[in-house]
Amino acid sequence: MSIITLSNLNKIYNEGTDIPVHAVNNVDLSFEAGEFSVIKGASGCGKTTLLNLLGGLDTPSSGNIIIDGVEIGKLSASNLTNFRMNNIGFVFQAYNLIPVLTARENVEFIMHLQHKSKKERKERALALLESVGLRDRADVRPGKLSGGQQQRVAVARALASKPKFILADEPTANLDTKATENLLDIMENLNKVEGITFIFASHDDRVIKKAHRLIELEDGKVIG
Amino acid sequence: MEIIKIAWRNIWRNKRRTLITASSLMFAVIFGVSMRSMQLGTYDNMIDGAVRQYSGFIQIQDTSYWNDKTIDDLMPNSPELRSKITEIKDVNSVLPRLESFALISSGSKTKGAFLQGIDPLVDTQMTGIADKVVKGKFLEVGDDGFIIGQRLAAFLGINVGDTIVLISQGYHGVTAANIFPIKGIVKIPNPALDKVLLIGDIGTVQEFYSAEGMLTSLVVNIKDKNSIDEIIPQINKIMNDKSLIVLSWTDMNKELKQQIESDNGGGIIMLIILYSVVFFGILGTIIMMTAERKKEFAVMVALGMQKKYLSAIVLLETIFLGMIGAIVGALVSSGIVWYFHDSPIHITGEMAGIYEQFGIEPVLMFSTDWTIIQAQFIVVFSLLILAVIYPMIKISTFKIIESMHS
Amino acid sequence: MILEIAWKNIWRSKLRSLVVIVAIAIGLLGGVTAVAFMNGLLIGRIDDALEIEVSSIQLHNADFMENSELKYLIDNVDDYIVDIEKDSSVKAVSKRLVIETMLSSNRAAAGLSLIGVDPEKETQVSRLYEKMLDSNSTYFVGVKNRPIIIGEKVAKKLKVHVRSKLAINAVDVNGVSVRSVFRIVGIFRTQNGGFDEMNAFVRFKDLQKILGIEDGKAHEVAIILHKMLETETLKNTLQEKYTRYRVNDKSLLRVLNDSIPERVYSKLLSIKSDKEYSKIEFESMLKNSFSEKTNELYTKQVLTACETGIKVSEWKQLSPELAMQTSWIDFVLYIFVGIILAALGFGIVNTMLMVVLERIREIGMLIAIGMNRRRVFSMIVLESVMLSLVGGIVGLFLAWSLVSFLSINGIDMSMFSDGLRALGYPSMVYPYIEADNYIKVTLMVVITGILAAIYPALHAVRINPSIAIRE
Repeated sequence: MSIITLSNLNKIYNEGTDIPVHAVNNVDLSFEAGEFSVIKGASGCGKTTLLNLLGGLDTPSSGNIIIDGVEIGKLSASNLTNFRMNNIGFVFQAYNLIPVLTARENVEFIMHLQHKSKKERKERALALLESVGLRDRADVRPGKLSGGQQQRVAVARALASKPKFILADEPTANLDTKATENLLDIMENLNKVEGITFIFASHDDRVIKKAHRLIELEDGKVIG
Repeated sequence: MEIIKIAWRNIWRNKRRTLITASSLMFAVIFGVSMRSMQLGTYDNMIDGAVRQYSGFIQIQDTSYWNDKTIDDLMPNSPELRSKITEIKDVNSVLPRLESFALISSGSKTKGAFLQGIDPLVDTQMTGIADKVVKGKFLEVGDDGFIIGQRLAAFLGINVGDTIVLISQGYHGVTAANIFPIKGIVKIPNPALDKVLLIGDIGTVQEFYSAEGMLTSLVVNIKDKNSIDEIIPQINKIMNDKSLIVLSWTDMNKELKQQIESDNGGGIIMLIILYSVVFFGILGTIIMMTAERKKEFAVMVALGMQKKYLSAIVLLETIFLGMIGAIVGALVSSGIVWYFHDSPIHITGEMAGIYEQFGIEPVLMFSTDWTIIQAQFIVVFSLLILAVIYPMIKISTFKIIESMHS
Repeated sequence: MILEIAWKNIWRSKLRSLVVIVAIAIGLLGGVTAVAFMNGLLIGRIDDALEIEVSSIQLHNADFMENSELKYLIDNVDDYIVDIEKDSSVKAVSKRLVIETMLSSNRAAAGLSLIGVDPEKETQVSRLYEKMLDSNSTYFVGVKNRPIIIGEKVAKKLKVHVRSKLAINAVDVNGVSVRSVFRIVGIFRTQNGGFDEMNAFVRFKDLQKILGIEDGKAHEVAIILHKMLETETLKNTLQEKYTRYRVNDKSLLRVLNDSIPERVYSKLLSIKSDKEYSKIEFESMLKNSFSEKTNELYTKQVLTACETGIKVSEWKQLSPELAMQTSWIDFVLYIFVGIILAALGFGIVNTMLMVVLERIREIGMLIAIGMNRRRVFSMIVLESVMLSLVGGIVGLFLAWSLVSFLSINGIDMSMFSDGLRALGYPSMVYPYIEADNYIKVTLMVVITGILAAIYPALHAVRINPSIAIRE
């Protein structure tokens, strides 16, 4: 069952000027539950834009994005935000966490927005941190965590809202080899054991190597 | 000059912040100038009411007159002294006065009145009393009649052409008593004076008190009250007479002077508080800007710019930032001040009554003294210099490598 | 949780937040203390003004007030007093005779108001007896023949002291000149130099005898209330009972003397009569005769000019500057503090804007993961409010401490004493602020925090997460 379907998806920047940029060009794509896929391509090929569209962070110039049966392009801004909160998890390249909250508080944050009970939040947050191997750092602020540890907390945070899938935009770009391995192992594990769907945008070979499915993008078009 | 160009462009890098900071200074300057202008204008108004219309800014009296103010402490009229003083720079004229009390009656009514003998030609130059005549005529030189305050006339039930009886104690104990015609009625702004004042030609009044050729005071009519301190020593030099004393309005009306001083102090304190607050606003902005640009500064110094040069740029930026707000504020507030200077706000209702009780015209006067704006600029400039100390210190102490990798 | 985040965010840049907090604290410290000072000045003035000079309410013959003419007395004054004392709001009532006269010693003369009082009753209404200069002075204690008490300034001018004799020259009720000699039993000094100069006091019965005034008459009735300043109710009651209005020659002359426009005067002239109206009747007559606007502007003045019978004056009318200042002082506090907060507002806007721009990626991330606009907006506003509140609380605490300290020790204003005394102000000022003023100022601080945050918060809300997050 497809959880995401993209049809005739286009995103054009600077439309109407001399230098329009066709960042995403007539993309037809679908994703199934349980995928571990990587959208790859050189810098500027449009993979970040595509990921942003997938995550409802950006609106398409034309075409549909249907997630779990909902056409998100038709949602109002606040409904879209709500939708994201309940259905999509994000891991960004950097600035994933709120600096003034501890690791555990960061993971709890989204559940707080979802009005979950205090007990439930705490329990789940600790469990998630456990699954990324950072339970012992639960009460530490991001500033005191290494880059790799921060990204792992980000994964835990992304999982907290029980999303349909997780979008990761260049999550390893700032990490060294060891940290990258660590992170990818955890994500793979989560995918295998818990069935969490991961969609990456990356040009990092280490990520590409681990992909179960590879989508190649060039100048906004899917070529493989 | 290169630095100026760089500094100027730099402050526009973050337009919003520059505009907000400049606005805060503009606000402070507009408020400061308007408030001070209104205060100083009001003082001028008060002084005008109390001083110009009555005692004048400088008086020469017999030394014993001020304490006792009796008819026996007179000074001789000296045309020579008068003309010599008139020659002093900024002196318009010298007015002779003979003032004392008398009982005035008409028909069945009697009241205590205040007699003022003046030179009809020159006195009105200072007091403008001739313009305040509402019935009848103003006095002529050597006039044998009096002009009377409107409320006093109403009380006595008299009109132009009626006669009044004046009784008092004259010079050296001689009884003073006579009848006089009323030549005109004046409306005196100060209601308390309006109820008691009687003005006559000085010769007539001197004769009444058997004090021919004598005065209670010589009033020096000056152009600008700020030149009092220069004029008084010159008068003293000319006078050279131990039996006479020179008094300024601040001696004669200590209360008014202190009232003005305390209100003035209050206004200054208010501005101190305001500018302190604005200062911290500017300081905050400068701290933020400095922190933001740590890396940028580091790069510039690494590439070879002298720290001194960098400090100069920052100094100029701060000054530009401050001056924009101050200059715009000065322009706007000048507009406000000049507008209200030309068409002053008239106070009405109860407030007007209160003003009049104190003998002040019920108008909100704005002073156009340019030192007000000058003072604001000096303050703003000092604050900017003070604020710039922080980045200067930071610049002189930062380490290049540390800052580049923030 | 947003509250928690907002609070923690404030302390991310300690120096920056500290600058804002110090700025707010200084602003409030200065503003509140300055107003407390003005308040203290005013309170010092009011206490004496009411308890020595004008009392809460005074009654006169309506024609007396203009020129203090001897013949305009209140008849059956004791009946009025008995009636007034029945009112529960009244603390004490006394009657007085007032004439303008010349006091003379061997050396000099002075014109002033001579007031005949009944010492026993008077001490309940006026605290003048507390202001005697030294142990030689008494307030009519011990029976002497025609005692008089005068102000220090007058004593200096006349070059006299306790036990000196003074001559009073006056005109009695029949128009005959009278002269009488009094002996000084006391010299007083109040904080109002003007009052000291213009008033001397003798015994009611002595003055009555000299002037040949019948029993049961007086010029002035002075009333002091338990709540000194709350005079409106009683004034209205007394006016309804005792004051009448008419449009006759005397009233028209008064109208002419005040700055009432020509058209009003001519209209009044046309309705001139000998009729005496009650207040209600007169007011409705005015309403019918003039336009609404004219009524709005001039009713009060016309009423005053046309009064007859008993004129009831509140302290507000007897001392209009005082009335003006009491209503002003609250107003001044909020304007003063408002200006300061406005100036601070700029600084806060700048700070919060910087905060938002600094955290643009973080905010983009928050929107991405599901924080909606309302929450983002609230977070920024909350941060601003908390920052302002911290500054506000620190500032108000400092202000409270300073004011408390000064209110015990007082501020010495003696270098302005001449000017202050001329207006009746004390030279020792005890600053004062009411508790609920602190609450109101705190509220103003919160509002400033909110208003200053609006622009930056709107900016935060409009952040496009996809642009913000992109490196």
